[in-house]
Amino acid sequence: MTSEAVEGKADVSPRLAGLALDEVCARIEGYYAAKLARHGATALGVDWSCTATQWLRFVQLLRICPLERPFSLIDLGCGYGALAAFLVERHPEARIHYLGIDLSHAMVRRARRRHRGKPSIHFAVGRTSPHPADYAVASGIMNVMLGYPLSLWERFVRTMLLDLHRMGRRGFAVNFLSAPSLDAPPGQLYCPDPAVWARFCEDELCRSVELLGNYGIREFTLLARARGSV
Amino acid sequence: MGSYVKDETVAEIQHQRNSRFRSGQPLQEMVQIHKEFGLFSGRYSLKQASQILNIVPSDFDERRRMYIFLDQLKDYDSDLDGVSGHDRIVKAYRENLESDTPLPVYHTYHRYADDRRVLVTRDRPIVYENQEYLVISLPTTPAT
Repeated sequence: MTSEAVEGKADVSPRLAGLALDEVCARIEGYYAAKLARHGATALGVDWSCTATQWLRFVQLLRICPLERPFSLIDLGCGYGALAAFLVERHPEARIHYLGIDLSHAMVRRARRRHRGKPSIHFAVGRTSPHPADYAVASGIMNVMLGYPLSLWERFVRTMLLDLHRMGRRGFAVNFLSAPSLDAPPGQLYCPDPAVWARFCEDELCRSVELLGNYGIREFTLLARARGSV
Repeated sequence: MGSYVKDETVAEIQHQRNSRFRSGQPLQEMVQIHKEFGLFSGRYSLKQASQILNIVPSDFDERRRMYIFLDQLKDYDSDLDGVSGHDRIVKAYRENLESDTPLPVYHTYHRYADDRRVLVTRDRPIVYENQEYLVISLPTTPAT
């Protein structure tokens, strides 16, 4: 992490709620709607550098799921449905009931168009799902701080982790940047200390945590399993 | 290549390729991508690999022309007898990324009139570095 990175000292203040959460979500929606309008339904349209690194992230996130058995999956911040496409392509035999959720109407419209006619793939606009699934994953939804102060952003991160915890009965997986890209403006990207959120998931959410790193990109993936589950 | 795409596109793509294959984290990223998805295993053409890696011209019209050039490399010769320029590049990437000590890759060009083959060597092409590179050189013809 460089001196320009945002230091990861997790603020364990209460979760973000009400108008403050609505405002953050509205700004996130606007940010990604603009990306989609500029780059289309591509990796760049959801702020990743290329399809290959997007796939690398999916491989790590899916380590939470037992792909040889049927399960339900919530993909929080699903964008245009790239993970669903990856699952269809790379794990055609897997029996997955997939629900993608995104704040952006434009993203969900693209995702629905892309996956039309696939009965086990669904999309919804929103921030969360009232119905839990076996597993929940989120890729890159907490990386861009959008100018918010660190303390507020970490309340947002905490809120997202609590939502993932609630939505993923058996487990959830999420990724974070471990170092900013060289072309990112200082303070723009959230690069926490992995231990901080691992401890939060273990101590406050009572999950068994596994941290994955060294998979070629500057980030880590946090797998949080329900204790006692495989 | 100069006859297929604009000069500035040649430079743009050269920069993108060299950035993505430079030593350190970028090379590790390539190693991991190849290991996980077999990007240079022969499953994907150079055109497809370029799309997957997003090593493409920013100008959409130039993108199409670059794809034509990449496909045309199948008709080029290489420094290996019986191996096309396209397959030589794929083989060079694959062997390098699968080796115990992969090298950063430096992409450059030479005059088609001097040698019409795709050339793969090991060299120290950056004068202020001691780093050894795998050097892939494509034959090119000036547009005019």
